[in-house]
Amino acid sequence: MPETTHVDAKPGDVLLLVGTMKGAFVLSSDKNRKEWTVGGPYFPGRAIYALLHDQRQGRNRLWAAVNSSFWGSYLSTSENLGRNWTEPEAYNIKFPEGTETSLKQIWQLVTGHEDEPNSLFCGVEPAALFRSDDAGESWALVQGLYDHPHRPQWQPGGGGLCLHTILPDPENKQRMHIAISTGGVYRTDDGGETWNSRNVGVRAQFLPPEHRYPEFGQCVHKIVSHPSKPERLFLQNHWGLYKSEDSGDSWTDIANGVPSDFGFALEVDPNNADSAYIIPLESDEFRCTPEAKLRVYRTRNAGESWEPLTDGLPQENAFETVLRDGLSADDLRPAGIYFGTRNGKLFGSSDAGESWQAIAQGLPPVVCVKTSVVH
Amino acid sequence: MPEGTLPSQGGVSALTTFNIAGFLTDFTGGQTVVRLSKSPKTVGEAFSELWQIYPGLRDRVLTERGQVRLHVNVFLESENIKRKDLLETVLPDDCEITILPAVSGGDEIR
Repeated sequence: MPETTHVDAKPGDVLLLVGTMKGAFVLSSDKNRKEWTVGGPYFPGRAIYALLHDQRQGRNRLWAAVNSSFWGSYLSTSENLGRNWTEPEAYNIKFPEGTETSLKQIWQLVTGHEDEPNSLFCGVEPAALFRSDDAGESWALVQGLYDHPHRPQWQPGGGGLCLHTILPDPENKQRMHIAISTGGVYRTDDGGETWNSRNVGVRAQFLPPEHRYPEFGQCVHKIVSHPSKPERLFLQNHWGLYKSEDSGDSWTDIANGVPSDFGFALEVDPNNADSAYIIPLESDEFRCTPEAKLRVYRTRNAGESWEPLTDGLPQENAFETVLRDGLSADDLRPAGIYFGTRNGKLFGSSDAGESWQAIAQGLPPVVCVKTSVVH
Repeated sequence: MPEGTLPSQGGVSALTTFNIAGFLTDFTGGQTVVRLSKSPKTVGEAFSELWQIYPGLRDRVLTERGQVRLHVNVFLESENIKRKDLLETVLPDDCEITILPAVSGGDEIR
C-alpha cells in the first residue's frame, strides 16, 4: 500500500475533498489557493463517490462514502482531517426489511437545512434517499420517495440507477429537489412525504421523437441551485442544458453557444446567482472534451450566453472527462472553482475561472470534488 | 499462519473451518483460520456461527437481504459453490469453507 500523508488546516484555509476510483484525497491551502498540500490516499482501492465536510455546531467532521464492488458500501467519518477514519462493524446505510432491495452504491452526501444542524441526506443506488436526524448516528430510508409509483419505471443509465443529487431548499425546509439517473428531477414540498416529478421541458434524447418529453424518465446528470435564489435551478442533462426560474416547475433550454449540450459537471458561483459553470463533453458516444480542448464554460447572465475559460488549461490533446460531481466551487471572493478529470488531473482557479492551474496530476480517476472553507 | 479457534465445548473437536483472507482479516483480529466447535448443517448456518464470533464480517460478505455479495466467492473445499444454492448447501463433517473476493470484481468508472 502507498504511504499515506496528511494535511493540517487552520480557520480560513480551504480544503479540497477529492474522491477517486481508488481512494480519497484531502488537499489544503491557505486563502490564496495557490499552494496545495495533498493528504491521502485514504481508503486505497475503494471508490469514493461522495465526500462532505460537516462544520455545523463546531464539528470538524469529514464524511466519506466508501464503495467496494467486493465488500459493499458504507459511510465513514474522520474527526481529524483524515488521520483516522471509522470502520463501522455493521454498515450504516441499509435498505430496511420489506423492501427486497439491497444497497449497491452510495452516490451523494449533503447536510440538511440550516435550522436542522443534525440532519444529513444520502443518495444511493438503486435510486433512494436516506435521512439522518442525529448527525449520522442512524439513518432511515425516506419511504415517501421509495414508495413513489414511478419508481418501478426508473431505469439505470450508464452509471446505474442512482440518486446522485440532493438539494435541500435553504429558504424552505419542507422543500427539496433530488435528481435520478434515469428518472429525472423530483421535488417534495412536505418534508419528503410526497414527491412530484419536475421535468417539464427536459428532453429524453434516447426516446423516439413522439415520446421525447415524458413526465419522468429523463437522464438528468446534475442539478444545482444558488443559496440566495433557490427557485433558480440549472440542469445538465444527458443532452440538454436547462434553467428553471420556478423551482423546477418548468425548464427552458439555455444551451446558447456551447460546443455541446452533453455533459455532466455543473456548478454555481456562490457569490453570483447569475453565474454557473459547465464542462461540455462531445457526445454520449464520445465522452471527451470537444476538439480535445479542456474548456470550462461560464455564464454570467443565467444562461443567456456562455464563454469559454481556457487560461491555464490544455487546449490540445486534452481528451478529458469530468463527471457529475467532479466540479465544485468555494465561497471565497472571488470564488475558487475546481475540477477533477477521469484521467486523474485536478485543476483549480482562484479567480472565478479567469485563470487556472494544475493542482495535481496522476491521481486515480476523479469522480468527486468538494470544497470547504475551514471555520 | 494465524489461527482463531472458538474454544471447543465439552471436548468436541472442531468440525468446520473457515479460511479468511486479505481485507476480511481486518475483522477477525488478523486470524486467517477460524475453527467452529459446532457442526453446522449448511453454509448459511455456518455463516451464522461465524458472525457470532466476528460480527464485522457479516455486512462485508452478505447484503442486507442476506445474500452473498455478487463479487464474493465461497468455496466448499475446492469447489466454488453455485450462488443459487449457496446458503442452503449442506456441509459434510470436517469441512473447510473459504471466502474470497471474486476475479470478476474491481471497480468500473461510472
